[in-house]
Amino acid sequence: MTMPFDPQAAANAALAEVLASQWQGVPAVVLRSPPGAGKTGVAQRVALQSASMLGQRCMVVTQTNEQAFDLTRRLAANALSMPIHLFARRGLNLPDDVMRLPNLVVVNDIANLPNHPSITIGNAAKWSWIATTEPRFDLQVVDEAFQLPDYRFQLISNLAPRHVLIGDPGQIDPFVNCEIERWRCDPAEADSELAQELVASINRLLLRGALMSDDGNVSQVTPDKIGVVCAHVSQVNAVRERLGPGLSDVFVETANRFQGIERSFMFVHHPLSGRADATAFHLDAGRLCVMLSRHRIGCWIFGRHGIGEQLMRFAPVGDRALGIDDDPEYRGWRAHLTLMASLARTGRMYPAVNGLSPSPAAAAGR
Amino acid sequence: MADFIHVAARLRALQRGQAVPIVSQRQIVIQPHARILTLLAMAGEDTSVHAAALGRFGHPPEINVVADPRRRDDQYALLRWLLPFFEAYYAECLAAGTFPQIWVSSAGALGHLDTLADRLRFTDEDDIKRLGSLWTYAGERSPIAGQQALISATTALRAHYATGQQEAEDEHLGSLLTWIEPPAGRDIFAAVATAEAQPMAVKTDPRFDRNTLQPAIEDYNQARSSNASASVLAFHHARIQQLLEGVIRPIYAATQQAMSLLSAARWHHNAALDALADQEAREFERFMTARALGFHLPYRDSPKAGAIKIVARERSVSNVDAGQLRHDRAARERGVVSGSVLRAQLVDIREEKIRPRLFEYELVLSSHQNSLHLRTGDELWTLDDPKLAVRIDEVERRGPFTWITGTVLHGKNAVKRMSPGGTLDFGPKAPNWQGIGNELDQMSIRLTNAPWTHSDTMPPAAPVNRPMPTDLLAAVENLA
Repeated sequence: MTMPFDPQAAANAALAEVLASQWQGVPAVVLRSPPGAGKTGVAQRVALQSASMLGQRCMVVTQTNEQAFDLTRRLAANALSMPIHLFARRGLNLPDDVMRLPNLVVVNDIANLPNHPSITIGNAAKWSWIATTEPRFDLQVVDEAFQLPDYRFQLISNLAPRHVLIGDPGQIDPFVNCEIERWRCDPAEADSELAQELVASINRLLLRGALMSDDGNVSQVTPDKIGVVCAHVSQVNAVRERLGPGLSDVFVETANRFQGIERSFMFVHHPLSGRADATAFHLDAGRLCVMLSRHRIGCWIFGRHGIGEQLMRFAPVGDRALGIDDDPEYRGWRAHLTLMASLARTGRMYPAVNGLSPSPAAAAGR
Repeated sequence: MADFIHVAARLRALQRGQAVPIVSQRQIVIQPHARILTLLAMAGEDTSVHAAALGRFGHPPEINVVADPRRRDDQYALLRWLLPFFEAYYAECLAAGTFPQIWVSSAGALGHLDTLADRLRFTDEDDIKRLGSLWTYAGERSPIAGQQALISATTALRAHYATGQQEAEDEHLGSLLTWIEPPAGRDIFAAVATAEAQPMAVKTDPRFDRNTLQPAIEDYNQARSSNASASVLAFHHARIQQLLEGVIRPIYAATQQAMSLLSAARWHHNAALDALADQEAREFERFMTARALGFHLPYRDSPKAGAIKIVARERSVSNVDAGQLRHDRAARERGVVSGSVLRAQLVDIREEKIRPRLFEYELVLSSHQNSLHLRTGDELWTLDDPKLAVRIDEVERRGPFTWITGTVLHGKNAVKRMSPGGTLDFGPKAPNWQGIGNELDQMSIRLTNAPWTHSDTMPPAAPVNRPMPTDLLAAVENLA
């Protein structure tokens, strides 16, 4: 019987994990949390643990002065009456109730920042202009971290060697008051979860200790009989770094470099997996053909759910070169559609063993 | 989305069948020595240059056409032809302490030049790389608010006029010019439809490509393959040249026409542009000095460089806005309508003695604006003399008026000489272009040591050398 979901227990478990990560000295923790789940409470507890139990200098970063005041009020009510430092610009008008906090210490400049185990709260803008090039704290907690653009995080990130970033990626994106298209980068092509699923499946294949017959020669399935093909070098690296020494004979390469090479068993990282778009590179029929034709006995294709929907949403750009009627992008699209339809029709699509979350396209429900 | 004033102007233009001016002051710096650069790309070869027309305002163009830009040697020959023009122009501007300005027809042409510059910088040929580097100055400046280095004629015209068509349609320079100077006695839409038939960006018409240009290029390539004589090749080349000149000359002429319209005496001087021209000259000098010192322009910015450039862009936006609000009447009125400018009557001045010879002043203001962007704690500056800065202490709506009280932070002496009844305009602090440099220097120091979060290596976990409580959650809860 399925147990009912207990949100409080889930929240407690997440908090315990975040707190424990600080004892393990994990360099960075990112906590994604929906509205009302108690993010600021987590920031409060992590900061208190850091200063009181771990003997660390903890800096807390907020996005606005109001958030800093709010967190100051919460932290100032700590059971130990530990002083709470508020790093703010000289002349900033503090709310009366904050001014009256008996254990509030207002710090205006770097010289007065505490050097002992403590908690110091400030907004990101104030932290970013601090005149130092060296870390001044042991832990940096960023509240509402998804409101902080990366270039502003970069300005404060070297103030501490370890980070806890807490926020909700589903709320308003940070506002940047200029055009930043130049720095827009493609979504990260390496899918670590998919790579992990792929490697786990290779292990499962080898664990069965099966025998194979290739051209009449019977032999055991060993790592050197297995290949993994991906579209991008980053995906290749993601798989390689998970193989471990026992699987070092598994050949992992991009489709371009796999041309002319065969393996008895092939594991294919679907070129469109995890992408929100379908570019000519990833649709290329030639690339797909290479990936699907390296195996001699068996081939498994790994990808996030939603590839079919992604293909149906595809709209070709329609750029034509002068005098050339051939459309490789369209041909590739048709090839991918044919592949997916064939796999679905013959019942050869299975859910991942370790349970991967859907691609952005599927998650958006489009 | 267009602001209210812009929408009203467009409706007026539609009603009249002619574009209406939306400002009275010039919105861009027009360098007297500006160069007009018109490029055509081959269909399907987005970073090619099939034809180039280059000249100065009031002068006919020098034109160069390559028969088939897919032939790398021929393409490079055209680019090599362009290089000395820009090398000389940039040197001339550097020596004069000013900045170069390149005019192109439209935003599409601007984007094409920007992309070309990026590509050319990474070729194997030093002179081609050099052309790419020089064009990169213009390309890198183009997205920065207030820049004057690379001007799109359509963008410049749209800053001065509103037409009665959709904004995207204004990107066709011929269409836009027709709205501004419609032919007498003709329906504006019919005239615009005629104008739109002429390509005005970097691409040629697909029907022209299929029916005329492609056969001409095929013939040329066949002649080459069959080792035809030089005169035969010249004939085919001349044929392609004539075809493309028929496309490129009107684009060049239209860009000239745009410059002519914007140089007219009807546009009053805009003091905000003086600071922008100075800033542009500083940026140009900095760019050329870096090139002379051998600093190369990377294809991708490092995290540090990216962060510094984003902050520079942000500061430029706020500086340009602050300058426009002070000097540009149209921008000021738009600000009043949108609420980013506080236009208020001075109701009262309250003086409080803090100690001997130290007084604090509070201003009481009232405004009948409907959508003010004000919060307590905001710092506002007067946009005209006398220079005052006020920190907003209270904002209250009473009937049709908004009452604002604020403490004077700067300009107390001026306040002493003021009396209630006058109207003041408040907005952001005055632009500080020099300040951007200081701020970026400070950023650079701040980022001396790259954080590991923006590098390729993650440090290992460093467990704490203390025993963790068995019930950690309870232990931490006891602290809260």
